[in-house]
Amino acid sequence: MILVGLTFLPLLGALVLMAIPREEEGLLRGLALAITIVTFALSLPLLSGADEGGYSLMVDWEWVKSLGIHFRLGVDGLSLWLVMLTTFLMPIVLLSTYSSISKKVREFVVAMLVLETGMIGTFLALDLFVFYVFWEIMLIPMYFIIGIWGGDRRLYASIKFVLYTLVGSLLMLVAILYLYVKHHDAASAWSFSYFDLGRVILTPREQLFCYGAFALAFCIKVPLFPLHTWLPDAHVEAPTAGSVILAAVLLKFGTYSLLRFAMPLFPDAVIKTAPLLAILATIGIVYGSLVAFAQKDIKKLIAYSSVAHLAFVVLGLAMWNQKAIVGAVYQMLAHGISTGGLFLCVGVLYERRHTRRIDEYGGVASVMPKYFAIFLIITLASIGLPGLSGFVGEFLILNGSFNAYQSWSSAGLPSFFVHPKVLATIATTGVILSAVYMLYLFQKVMFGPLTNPRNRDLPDLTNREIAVFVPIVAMAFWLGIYPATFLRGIDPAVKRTMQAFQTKYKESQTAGASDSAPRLVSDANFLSGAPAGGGDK
Amino acid sequence: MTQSYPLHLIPLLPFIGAAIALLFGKKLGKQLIGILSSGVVLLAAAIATMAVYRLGTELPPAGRLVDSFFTAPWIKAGDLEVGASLMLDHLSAVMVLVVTWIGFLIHIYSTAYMEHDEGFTKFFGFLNLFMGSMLILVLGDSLLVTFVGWEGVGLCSYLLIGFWFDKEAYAYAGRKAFVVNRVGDFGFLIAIFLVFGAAGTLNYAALDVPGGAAQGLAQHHWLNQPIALFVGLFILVGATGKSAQIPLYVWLPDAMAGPTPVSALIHAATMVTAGVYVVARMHVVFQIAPVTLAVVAVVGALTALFAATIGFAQKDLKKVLAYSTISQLGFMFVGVGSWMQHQIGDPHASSNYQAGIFHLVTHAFFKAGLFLGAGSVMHAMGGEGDVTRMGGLKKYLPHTRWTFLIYCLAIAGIPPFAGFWSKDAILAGAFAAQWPPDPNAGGLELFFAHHLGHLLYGVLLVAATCTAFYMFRLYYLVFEGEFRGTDEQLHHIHESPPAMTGVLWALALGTIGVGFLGMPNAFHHGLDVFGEWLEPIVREQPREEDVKHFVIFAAVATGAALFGILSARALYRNGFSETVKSFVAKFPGLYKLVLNKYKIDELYDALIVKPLRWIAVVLWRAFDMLIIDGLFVNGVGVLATSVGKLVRYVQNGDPQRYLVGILVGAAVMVWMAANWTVKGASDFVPKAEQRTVTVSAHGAAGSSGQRLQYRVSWDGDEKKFSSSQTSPIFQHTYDSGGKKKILVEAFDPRWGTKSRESHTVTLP
Amino acid sequence: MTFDLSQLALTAPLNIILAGGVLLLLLEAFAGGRNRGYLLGITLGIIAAALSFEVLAWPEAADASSRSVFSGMLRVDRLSIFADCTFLVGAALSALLAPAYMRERRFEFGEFYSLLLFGTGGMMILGAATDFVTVFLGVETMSIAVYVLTGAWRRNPRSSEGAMKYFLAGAFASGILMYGIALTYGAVGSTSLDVIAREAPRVAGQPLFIIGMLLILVGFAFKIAAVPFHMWAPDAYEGAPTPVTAFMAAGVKAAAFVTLLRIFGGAYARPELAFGASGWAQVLAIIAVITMTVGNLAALKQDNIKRLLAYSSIAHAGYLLIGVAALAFVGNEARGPMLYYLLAYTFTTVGSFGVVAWLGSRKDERLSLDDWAGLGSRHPAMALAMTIFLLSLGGVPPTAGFFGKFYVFRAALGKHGLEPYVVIAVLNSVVSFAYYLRVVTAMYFREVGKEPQPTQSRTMQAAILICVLAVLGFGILPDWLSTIAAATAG
Repeated sequence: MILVGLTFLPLLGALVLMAIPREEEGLLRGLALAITIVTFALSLPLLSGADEGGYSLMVDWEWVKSLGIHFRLGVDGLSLWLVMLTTFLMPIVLLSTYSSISKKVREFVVAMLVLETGMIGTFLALDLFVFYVFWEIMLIPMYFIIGIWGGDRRLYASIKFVLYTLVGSLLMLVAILYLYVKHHDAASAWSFSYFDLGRVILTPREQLFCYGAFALAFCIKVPLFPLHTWLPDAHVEAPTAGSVILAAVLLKFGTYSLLRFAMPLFPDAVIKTAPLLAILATIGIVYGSLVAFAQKDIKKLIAYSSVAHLAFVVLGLAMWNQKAIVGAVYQMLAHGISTGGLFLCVGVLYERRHTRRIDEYGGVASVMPKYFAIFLIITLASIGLPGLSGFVGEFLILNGSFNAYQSWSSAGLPSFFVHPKVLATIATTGVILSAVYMLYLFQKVMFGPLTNPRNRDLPDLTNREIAVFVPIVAMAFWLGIYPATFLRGIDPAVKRTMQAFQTKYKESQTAGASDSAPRLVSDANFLSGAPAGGGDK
Repeated sequence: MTQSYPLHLIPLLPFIGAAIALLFGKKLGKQLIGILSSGVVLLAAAIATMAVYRLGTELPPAGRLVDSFFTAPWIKAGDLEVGASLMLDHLSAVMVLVVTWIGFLIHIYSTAYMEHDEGFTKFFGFLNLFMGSMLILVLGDSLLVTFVGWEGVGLCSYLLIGFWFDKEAYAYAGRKAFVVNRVGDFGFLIAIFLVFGAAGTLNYAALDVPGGAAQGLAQHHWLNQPIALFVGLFILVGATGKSAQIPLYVWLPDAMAGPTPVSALIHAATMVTAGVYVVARMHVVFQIAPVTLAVVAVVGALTALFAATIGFAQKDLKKVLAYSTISQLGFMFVGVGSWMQHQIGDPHASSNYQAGIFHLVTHAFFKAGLFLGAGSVMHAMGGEGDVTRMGGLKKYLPHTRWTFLIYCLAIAGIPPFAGFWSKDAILAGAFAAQWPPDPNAGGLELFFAHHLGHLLYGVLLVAATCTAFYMFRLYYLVFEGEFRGTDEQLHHIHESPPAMTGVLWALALGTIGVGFLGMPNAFHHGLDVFGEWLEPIVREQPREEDVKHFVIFAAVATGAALFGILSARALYRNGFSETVKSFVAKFPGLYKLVLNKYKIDELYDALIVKPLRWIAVVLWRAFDMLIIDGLFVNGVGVLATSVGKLVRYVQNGDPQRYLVGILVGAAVMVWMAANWTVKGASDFVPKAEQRTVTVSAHGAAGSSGQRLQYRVSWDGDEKKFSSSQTSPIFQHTYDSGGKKKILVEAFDPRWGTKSRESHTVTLP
Repeated sequence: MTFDLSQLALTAPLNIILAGGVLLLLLEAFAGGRNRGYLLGITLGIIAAALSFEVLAWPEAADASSRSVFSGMLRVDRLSIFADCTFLVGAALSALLAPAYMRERRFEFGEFYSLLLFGTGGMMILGAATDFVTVFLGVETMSIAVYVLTGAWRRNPRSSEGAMKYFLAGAFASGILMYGIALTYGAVGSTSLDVIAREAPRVAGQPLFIIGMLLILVGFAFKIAAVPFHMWAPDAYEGAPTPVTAFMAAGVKAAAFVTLLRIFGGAYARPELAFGASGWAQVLAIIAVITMTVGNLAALKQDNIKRLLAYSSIAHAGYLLIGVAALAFVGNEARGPMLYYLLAYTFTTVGSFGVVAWLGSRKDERLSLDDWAGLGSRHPAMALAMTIFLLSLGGVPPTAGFFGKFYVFRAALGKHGLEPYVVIAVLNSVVSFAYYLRVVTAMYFREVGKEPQPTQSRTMQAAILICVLAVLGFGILPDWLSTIAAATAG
């Protein structure tokens, strides 16, 4: 119930705001901010269920009877912190737009609120149809945010963003439908429930196709090399707020859904293709870092750094080792904070100078000491310095991947032609490269003499801007200094997911791979982590 | 035997100081911040000392004091569980004392030195931050916690090198330091992963079997030779980064861009020695694979000599000291790298750890002193660091001069100063060192196993001589002879305030005193207090057996040092002597080469930095923009739209075409209907059992209602078709074996269309 | 089966519509006069009456067998009732658009309403036809009315041109259809669909019969504008007065598809006709893929909104054909999805053409995309409506268009071999977004070019509003409608 409120409060707010005359900008901003803050408050109770591995606060309402579509929401360790991240960032972002967004304020806040509903819903959905609906709903406001408030090439960027994403998501829809029909064949009941569809055991071939569709959709969203080229355009053209949400939350849907949906649904295909995924991720890490190093535009540099950081997450998932996956989930959070913060930092400069070219800056530190401090901390967080958000996730991913071999074999998975240790070692060079490009950026922008006269009298952060950054910096420290808070919920959830994966994998192995008649996993609630599923810790 | 003790206060206090200084520095003012920052460090030092006292008095030699920041584990995921815990044993005790006390002195010094800098509070904030991180590093009870400190000190070094960031070069130096260190960290991380993979834990106590020394290596179940080998090497990579050894030393000389106290604290006394500490800390690993220690020693020796030679020609006061630091760190590496065993697999064999650590301690004193002295000189000279502009300063800076002289004697290795004792221990150890050869080793390997030590000894001796030479070159150029600077400078020269000179003297006393802690047991057992202190951690190992040997070693070393000093005196007593000038004139190339540090920076730039940038740009422009985006992404779009254009071109608006379109469409459909049936029908598969062949159709031919007719010719001859039949299954038994060609025909009486296909079967 | 008056009662809606058409014709002829506003009212009244009869008839239409009238010429079963409702709704909405449009453009074309009703009547005949004779009758009644409507705006050359082309091609197609029917009669000896269904096993092998079947298919492929029989569509759609375009896009297409449902779900349902290398299932699937692909690609670079929508409707015919092909596998189960899709599409397409009609004016039709620039900031409501229609056309949840695709694709997926076609269809809809979003982009992301002077008309706005509500309503709660549509399967 609370989840429903959480999901739709922003949407309701958006409808209310539409009724307010567009001249009342102050009121509109204030109300929107208030709504997002209330939403954040509403999300706090979720923490209560953080410790157990299973799902909590489940909602299950019938939506379309004849199709077996249920409005089914639930939160567990995988989604909990991502939801929190969303609700946490939303007010901050809105606050940051007070100065940056001046035209069509009403439309903007409405779009942002609709977007929030879409994001929260996607994270909470446990019915694949609902999941898909939210997934698409999320797309539209983002398209408008890029297209209306974006930069010069916003038309190209927005269309590219939508089409790129649609290719994946529509194929995913077909896969969902296929699974849905197969489930009907097996159970002779229509259902889109994650737990029901999860029970369907497809033939290896079917799995490959369906998993392919899912993985494509999600890898585009991540974005995983070589499907990443929409990201730089979208980021560069989007307004600061858009970039922040895009980087901090939207990208996470790829990795989150990969872990939540794609992998438990098609274990056989996952195992067959994991090496491919791991290799692409490893390439992505090095490639993204190098390309980031070549950028002259601050936003592009950060965009490519996201490609590298998210590739870390995918690597962790592909290695299918508990440490690595926990690290991956953690890294999603950390990246949300650090990269979100970075884009806000860029926004601060952009508002003052209306350029994103690195060489336009230099020596900013000496005129903006407060900004210097904050930008420094966030930069270090993104580099992955211990004590700040970036480190824990990276360490767990790399450590887990490096030692993934054991858990692969223990999971009864075949040993791959690519040795995890090799990939992990290559991936670890990302630690060096991230320092290379981020410090390059930092030095060029902040350090050195004040050559450019236009930077002479840049005003330092205003109190409002400080209010924007303080929570982010605080979170960066919290994530870095006391990870236990977050790991407590993530670890058991990951464990449960992996156990479900193995249960299903074993059963799909016992079946003759040839028989085309779809079957169900014998244990009805092996996915939901109810005791029978043996999912609990 | 462990005991709980509030160790966490030791790093925490400086952190608090840092937080206050950075957040409220501006409001509180320099005075207060100066006192506060030094105060917290003093407090930390006091607590540390008490802890060490407790450790030494109340606990058995192998005991440790333990503490943790959080009750819950710091990181817990899957089978990984690491606490944010600290641990004080005899090894970390040494480090903690050095770090806190020398750190405290340097804080005091800085209050005076940085007095007029507007970044005063920020400086102390960073300095405290460094203290905290360094203490975490040395107190960490697991590789991960150590790594946290390891990265933290790297950060502070970055910030303090770039402290005056409005100078492009300084900012770059800071970045360079960080990135190069990251290369080392990469190695460290890999080592951590390997250790965890093998042991399932990162906790030192768990890695090192209690009393492992006594019980031998069999106990180290988690390690085996190859892993130990890799772990050792990767740790070495990490160590070379932090401790500025070949090939990763390049960042340290540039690091002198930072304020001088920073150079003294971070880049001489404490941070750069972390590598040595970690090697000693992970001695468990190296005991399994002593071969890696040989690598450590060789790297150390080469660095020692290489850096020393660069010291010859440097003009900048701090640059010389920087290279001497690198060189001295090399000595320490040789120390911890010298493995000593008398027969293969000797369970009591060990490496000369405490010599290395001992030198670390003594070096901390005199090198910190040297830097602070240099700072005092530059302070007096108005920031001038070029020795060619100095000379004859002894009459203006008496305190600085005398203390500097003491340090120089110490680093040169003149008895009874501290440097002598520690360097002697290293040299002797190197001479005695023997690395275990593979049982079935070849001649060369055996030779190295037995004589590499002697080689290294030789190298170090030369390096020591060089050290004595360039240090005294420095001394003479600065303090003796005539003043070579401007009158304006001459007019301003003044001795530094007591806060600075006092610290100089304090360090000088240490430089004299601390050496006696590590005197060899040769004369009287128990003189080697230091060795005994460390023994429970890194077991005792033999130094020179008796007085005779010791005297010989001491004499040789001292002689070499004196030679260096005297030659320096001869050449530089009154500024640059003719000999020097003529030498430079005669070999300008050589001089330039040494002056430019053998152009190693340029080499790295050409080999690594530039190519990396180039690759990055190519990847972006060529691969990302051209191939992925241009060819695939936008390419699809272009293709689609052009097809669309084509369609619209066909439809140019005249109705005839429309009618044609309809007709063609209809015709095609009928044609399909007419021909596809037989086409679809004609997919036959022959099956052969013995000599009986069955040809049957599957797919469309099988589907009902097509009313097709089939004929077959069993020997592939068009003439000899069997009579038509409606069932698509034929059987025939050949009377002879071998290859058979079968021709099958499907016929559609409705349209009179037919399609044939032939198969060949091989029969027994 | 003998004729008695009760059968007239069964066909009451049809009779009402045709009679109403005649009535309106007379009114126009004699009681004409300047102000024809009242004609709209009468038309709507007639349609409402017909609708109410349909609704009343629904319950007892459960068993289709007893609903055969005129000695098997028509069958007034649930399929026809649902279809009729679709046609009537389409007609009513188009009628709502018409008056303001015609007034603005100064052609008070009174016969419009009667022709609209005649056309609708034709569609209703088609919807109920169970004999090729009535099928042909329906086709012609419908077509001729629409030909005339297309050319209704006499002073506009493009209107007449469109009508001319449409008529030429249409006549040609009708000829082919007639020929197909003749061949079938020759093979079977009857034109009754039931008889053909019964005789199918006997004649399935005869080329005559198969060619006949294919030619009949061609006839309808023309009506639904399937490639390569589609070429008339863009010209006709562009030339016709926009309300008429809406009527064509919604009604004509729907009627043709309903007939296809009857024919291929009934007469030709036998597996030996459906399957096999030359079975109609395969033929339809192939045509479907070609149609949607060509339609979408051709729309990509279209700058004229009416032509763009025309091509989009061609593409939609492609998606729907997948549903027809699915008949071969799931039988009349496929009716439900198809009918849902058709009704949803009716609302969506009439709505979108409605906005087009609303935006244009006599001086300036505003058909180029540039004319739509900045509409979002000038007329947010209408821009939003158009966006919703476009998203529904593209198939974004939660809109009726999405569920239309959803149902059809679900019917086509599963145990049989249509998956590849569905995948192609889905990729096609990605392409379709490329041009739907061009319109959205123009409306929202570009600055106002020419100040728009839209037609001021309550009725138009009403029509558009109804469409918006329907599109969203059936998108968020599709259950009610889909259950009713599914009930036509029986």
